[in-house]
Amino acid sequence: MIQELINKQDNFELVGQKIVDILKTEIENQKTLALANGSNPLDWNLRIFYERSNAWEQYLNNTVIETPIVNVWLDNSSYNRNDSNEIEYQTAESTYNIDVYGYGKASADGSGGQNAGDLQASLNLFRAIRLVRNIIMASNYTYLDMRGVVSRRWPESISIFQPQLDNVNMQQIVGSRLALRVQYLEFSPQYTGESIEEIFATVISKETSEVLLEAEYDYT
Amino acid sequence: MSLREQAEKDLKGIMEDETTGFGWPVTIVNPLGVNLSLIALSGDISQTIDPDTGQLVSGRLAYCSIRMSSLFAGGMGIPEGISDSDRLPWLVTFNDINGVSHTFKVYKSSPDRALGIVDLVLEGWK
Repeated sequence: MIQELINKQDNFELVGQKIVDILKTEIENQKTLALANGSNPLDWNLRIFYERSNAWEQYLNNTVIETPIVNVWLDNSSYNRNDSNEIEYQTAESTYNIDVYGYGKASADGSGGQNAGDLQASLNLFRAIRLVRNIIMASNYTYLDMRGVVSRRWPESISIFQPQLDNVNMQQIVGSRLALRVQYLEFSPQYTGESIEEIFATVISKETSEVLLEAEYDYT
Repeated sequence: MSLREQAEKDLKGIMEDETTGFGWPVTIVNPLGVNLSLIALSGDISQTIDPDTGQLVSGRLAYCSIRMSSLFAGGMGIPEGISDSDRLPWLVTFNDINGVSHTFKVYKSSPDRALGIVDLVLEGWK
């Protein structure tokens, strides 16, 4: 029987949460930097969610806020037998979908023309994707702040989606998906054997008789 | 009077009866800023859409259906969707059932010239 309570989080959970943490922290940092630079910090603002399916309610009830929405969710995981240890750890590769939605509302441009809502939605979306990609792929986060666990992260693709024409909507919304592939180690509970015998070893230099190393091992 | 002409005349009772029917006051503004108030059918309801990502997004569908002869009588042409950014779009304003006014841009216009109705799909405007 496994002797310990399995109350840890697996790394596939921690990696997803870490991606969200990094995005949230860096977005706040970007807003501070924008303010110091004399720019409007709201242009660097994103609303970030984790594993949500209804993060979009603001688009229905509060159509004033045009802040892009980001939702990070785990899509799939696979395990590589060649890089894994049968007993202790497995090398896993997971795809985290970072869905980004941009919203725009048409308005008069003040000079007899209009700012088209669909264009605004796309521009807001591109701004959001730009921020997400730059933050995740910054060299500061080569190992997503989980060195020793994460060995690689790579943006596999960015796809842009537009609503179908038949689904013409009062809101102009454009969606996109950044598929982020992350390679990391996944650990499992280990059997702890009872100590049967203690081994004491000493390494002595043949030439000088100097004691180079003393070691003690529990042999199970 | 042919049946087709009779059908067009019946639109007054079907679309423009605000006392006992579903007629509702709307105001239309053309790109030149000329406006016309008339009675038409209109709606603004929530729905869900999927921009093909597999994630459902809450949205709204706003529409307006107008009797074309009433537009012509008021000196207006048929509203159309305008994509050019150097032109103002057609705008439609109407109250919801609680008296809150909403203004929309005409996104798509589908005139039925046989019967004399134009269906407008509307987009948010600020």
